[in-house]
Amino acid sequence: MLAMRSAIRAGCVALAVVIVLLGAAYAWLKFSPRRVPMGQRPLATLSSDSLAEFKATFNVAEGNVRILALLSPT
Amino acid sequence: MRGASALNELLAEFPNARLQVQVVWEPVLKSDVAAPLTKVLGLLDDHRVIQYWDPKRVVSEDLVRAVNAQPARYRLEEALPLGFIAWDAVAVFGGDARWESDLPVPAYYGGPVVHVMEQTRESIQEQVAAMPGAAKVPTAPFAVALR
Repeated sequence: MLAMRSAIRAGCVALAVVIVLLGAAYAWLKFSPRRVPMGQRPLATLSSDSLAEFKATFNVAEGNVRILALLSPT
Repeated sequence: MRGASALNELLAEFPNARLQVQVVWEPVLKSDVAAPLTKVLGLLDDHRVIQYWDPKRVVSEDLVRAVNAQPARYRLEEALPLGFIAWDAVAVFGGDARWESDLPVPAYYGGPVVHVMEQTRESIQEQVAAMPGAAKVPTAPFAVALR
């Protein structure tokens, strides 16, 4: 009976450790600072409110060749 | 991510060209749970690049809306299917393109990015050559005037 309780307790501890590690990994993935290479503008997050600004940035460079690329991060 | 590396290598072939590159990272795959990490952003290290994280895919939605309003304008025979996501794609625009409500017609567009680098290169070359003042060698009268 005692051995069974110990096994259950150990299992719970292991499970908790795994959950904490997964949570930490997720939080790091989600919230760790992102840095773009030197010389570039900081990474901007787009929303429907900032779409006009995105287009304005495209238009400000009129006279230059513009390239638009859509990529997935993984 | 191979597309990002390929695009960066292509940009390095045009070190002095007047280019602006807007790169939109958007979640498409199940593993895309957050903005690209610093290591991924570093794949595009050209100073002419501006990088964005688009968690709600608003750019893709806007492109699909514009294309589906006038498929023929974008050289498509029919509208894109419902729920279509524009991704792993690249488009090249000439110097006179303006993005008002709808996406201007690109000089070239295609994908997957890693597979269309040759066509993208050709389009950039064409657009750079078409820009005013593209000729770097002074004409004879100008050369005479410099003396």
